[in-house]
Amino acid sequence: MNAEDPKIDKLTRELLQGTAEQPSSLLMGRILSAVMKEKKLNQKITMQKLPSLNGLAGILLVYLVLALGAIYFLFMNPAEIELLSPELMQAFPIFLTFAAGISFFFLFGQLDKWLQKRMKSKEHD
Amino acid sequence: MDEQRWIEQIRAGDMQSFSLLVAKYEKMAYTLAFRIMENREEAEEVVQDAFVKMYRALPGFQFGSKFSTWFYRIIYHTALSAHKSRRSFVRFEEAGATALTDDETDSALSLLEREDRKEMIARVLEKMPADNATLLTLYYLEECSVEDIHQITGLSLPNVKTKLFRARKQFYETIQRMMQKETTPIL
Repeated sequence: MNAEDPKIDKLTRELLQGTAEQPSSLLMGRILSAVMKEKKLNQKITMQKLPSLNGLAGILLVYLVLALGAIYFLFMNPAEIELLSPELMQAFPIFLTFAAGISFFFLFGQLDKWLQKRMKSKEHD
Repeated sequence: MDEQRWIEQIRAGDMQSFSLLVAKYEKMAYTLAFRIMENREEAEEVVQDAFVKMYRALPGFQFGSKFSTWFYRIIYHTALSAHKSRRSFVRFEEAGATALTDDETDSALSLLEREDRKEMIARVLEKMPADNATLLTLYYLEECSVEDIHQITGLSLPNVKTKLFRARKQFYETIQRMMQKETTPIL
């Protein structure tokens, strides 16, 4: 570009002023509709998504630590276990009932969430 | 400032803010796409695709650059992909550009005063290769800087300057030719 650039630039800018093209009046509607479709698609993908790899690894780690703790306790205190075992055997069904109750509560809670999301998504469609 | 708020609201799922963004950029996006595609229907397709791509990529936008520059880059590359089969866009004019002549400037000045200036300029831009018309649109109409154009097109800074210079020269040559054609039958 040369020394006369500012003058030529000004002239060019004036020449081009107001020459933006006008799209059809339907374009905006088409864009919004395409983006809405994209948004719904994203919602469905999120719904179907499994727990992340990190989440699964975390759950596994927690169970592993608990199992290791229990094994360590058994190895370190064999005598106490023998004494406690009749009591443990009695408490075992109660413990199992609680564990099953909590598990079912968690499972149905998740199922309910999933169904609600699905119904909302159908309403949008 | 408004734009940044809109973007944050769009990220939170607000479609009304997205429609405001569409209203703001639709015309310029279409102009840019039309310069490259040289066809109205195809340009609208490109604009639609570019807005969807922008919506998808919006969560990753960091405000590191101007939103307009970032979005024009999406439009430019979407249009370029759609235009890939045509070779004219990729080929930039290699002929060396000289400075503008007095006749070329005079033709442009007389055009400036005409009532049908906009129609004439639209015809001039249609006659020019798409790459040159696009650069002129970005620099003179959308007022993008050379740096912005470098970011949008991926061309090096010296390359942008050279190509702009050539595009401008060609723009004035085309104006002069068109004005001469108009006056020849009268003479």
